[in-house]
Amino acid sequence: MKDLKSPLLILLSVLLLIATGLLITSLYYFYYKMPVQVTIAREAGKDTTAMDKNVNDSLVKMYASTITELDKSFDAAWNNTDSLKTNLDIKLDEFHNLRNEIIAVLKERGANGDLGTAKQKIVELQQRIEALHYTNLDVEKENKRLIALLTRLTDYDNKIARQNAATGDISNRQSYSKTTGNGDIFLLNELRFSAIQIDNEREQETNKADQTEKLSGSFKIKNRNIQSSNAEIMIVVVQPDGRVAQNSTWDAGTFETAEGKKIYSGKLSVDYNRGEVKQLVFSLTADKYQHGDYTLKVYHKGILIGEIKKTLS
Amino acid sequence: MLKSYTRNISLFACFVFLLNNYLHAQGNFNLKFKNSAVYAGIEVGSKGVKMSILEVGKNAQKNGAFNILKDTSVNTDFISFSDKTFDATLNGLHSLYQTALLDYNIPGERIFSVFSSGVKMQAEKDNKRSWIANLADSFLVRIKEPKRKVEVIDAMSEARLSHLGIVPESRRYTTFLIDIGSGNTKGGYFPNGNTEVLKLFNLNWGTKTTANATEVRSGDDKTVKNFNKQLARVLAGAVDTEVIYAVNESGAYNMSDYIAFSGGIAWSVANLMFPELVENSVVPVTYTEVEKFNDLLVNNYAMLSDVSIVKTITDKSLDKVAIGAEIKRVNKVFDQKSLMAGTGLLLKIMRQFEGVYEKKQFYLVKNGQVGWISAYVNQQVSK
Repeated sequence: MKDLKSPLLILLSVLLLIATGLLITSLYYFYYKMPVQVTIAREAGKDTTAMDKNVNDSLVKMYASTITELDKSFDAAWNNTDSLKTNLDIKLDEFHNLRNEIIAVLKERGANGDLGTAKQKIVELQQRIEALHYTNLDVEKENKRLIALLTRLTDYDNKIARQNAATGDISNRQSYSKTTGNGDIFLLNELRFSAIQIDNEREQETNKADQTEKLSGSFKIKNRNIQSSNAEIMIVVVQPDGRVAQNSTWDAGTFETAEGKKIYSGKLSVDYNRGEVKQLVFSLTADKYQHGDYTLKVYHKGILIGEIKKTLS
Repeated sequence: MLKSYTRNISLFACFVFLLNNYLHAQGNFNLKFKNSAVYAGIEVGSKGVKMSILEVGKNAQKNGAFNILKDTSVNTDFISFSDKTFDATLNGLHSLYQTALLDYNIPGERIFSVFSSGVKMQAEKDNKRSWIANLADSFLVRIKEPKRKVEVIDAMSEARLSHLGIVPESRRYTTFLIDIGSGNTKGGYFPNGNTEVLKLFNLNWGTKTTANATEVRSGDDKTVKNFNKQLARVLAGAVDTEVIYAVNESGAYNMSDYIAFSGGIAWSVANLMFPELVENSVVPVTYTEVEKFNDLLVNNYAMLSDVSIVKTITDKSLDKVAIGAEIKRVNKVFDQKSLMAGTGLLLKIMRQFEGVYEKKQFYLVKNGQVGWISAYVNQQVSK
């Protein structure tokens, strides 16, 4: 019995060795020799599953490189396209849709017709990327133009401010207030300044210093761009002798301007809502009034936004 | 014809006489207000006798329209209660009265004389109340006006009168007035919407006491750097505890919109920070502004000299000479360390009112020392 078992075991071992060798050979060919077979098959114009798979792979590579390129363009475009954002958004939506369609096509690897569609869509995607690239260039160009315009406007504002400080021209000051009205400075209009005489509790306007019992002023302020907040408007009433008139020393103080510290006659605190037109009034009661020109100056954030004179004889 | 001529001459003579009397009474002062009157207040204080010549406007009560025309004093140290200081005080009192009457042409009925609360407190403490009565009697004998009244003011009346004299009517019930003196800080506010009751505030720290405590801590190192370091410790220690307690106890935070500081340090800081407002008796200020000023005081004191400050004035309508003179006066009264101590104390008190959600408006009052006299004058005039 013992003699019979040994040759069987030897035979089984030999068979196992042969089977292993065959398996290794098959696997070797499967992994290392297959591309050669596919190339040969393509060269021969034969349509096989392996060939389809390879085409799909190349499409994936093409798609991936397109996406990388697009990402770069997209980043650049995103950084520079504030003003053309809407157009870009539309283009990006189109791109995302196209990309999803391509992904869906590539997932269905077995269907031959879809590969043609995928190829077509990738070409379309590349065209869109090119279009985005041009949009980006336009945006960059527009940004450069706007920056140059802004610099010119700032230079102009500074020039006007310097001229105002040097000449004291009221009309210039008003135009200055308008140009800076786009920023956070109030636009002022309907500025009125009058001397008031009180007769039997009735207030009447007067031009005579001896009859004046108070000085009264009003104006409207507006700004579309200013944030809704609390703002301070400084009122400066310069007397004929050049001194600043004051209601009470408790109401007066100093504020900073480009020309240095100035004394204000009074300060108006305004709760302002963006874009609203607000009318402000003030009055000033001095102990005595001088003959000559009283000048009312209105400042916001240290910038003169309005000026008017009243002469008392 | 002759009668008419005589009548015209008489009318003209009367007019000249009345005009002369008016000008005489105004004492040729450069008056600020229309329809105002000039008064003199003579105060016998702890250190000496002080006279303030005031122009009181018709709106004095309404908007604080009073103007200091002259402010002069004689150091006599009355509270030593010796014969020598008694005589010196009597002579000072008499000479200032004569000056007001004869040199400044202020009629007797517009000259008021009082003893301050400091004198009263010390006299009561030393059991020397008779010295006050003796001085008053001797003064009345010397000026030959036995019916004249020389009132003794207590601490409550002085604080009440100060508030009435300094704070305008429109802010009377919303302002907490704090007087930072050299030895202590006192003040108050009217909590009930009338001037009958004043809620008193008292703190045992003043500019001088804070500076002294810092000097003691400084030891041999007398540098400004060390003074600043020690000052921070003084302010963070006992001062902090007392200030927090006193402010909380006063209940002023909820009852006041405005916090006004008077006293020497308020006058100094106001002049150094806002030289442009040299003519204003009160200046508005923020906590941040005082904080910045304190930095300048410690790190760049040279910038606070009269020459440096005048250089920063750009407004041509301002009197640079007057500004320079006032800054010089401030720097004479307070040196760098005293200013640092006073400003530190000021900031410490201000901090208690610098809430996160509700910020109070701070003021520095420059004429606090005559505030109560002006109110006293007003009170006497309206009687």
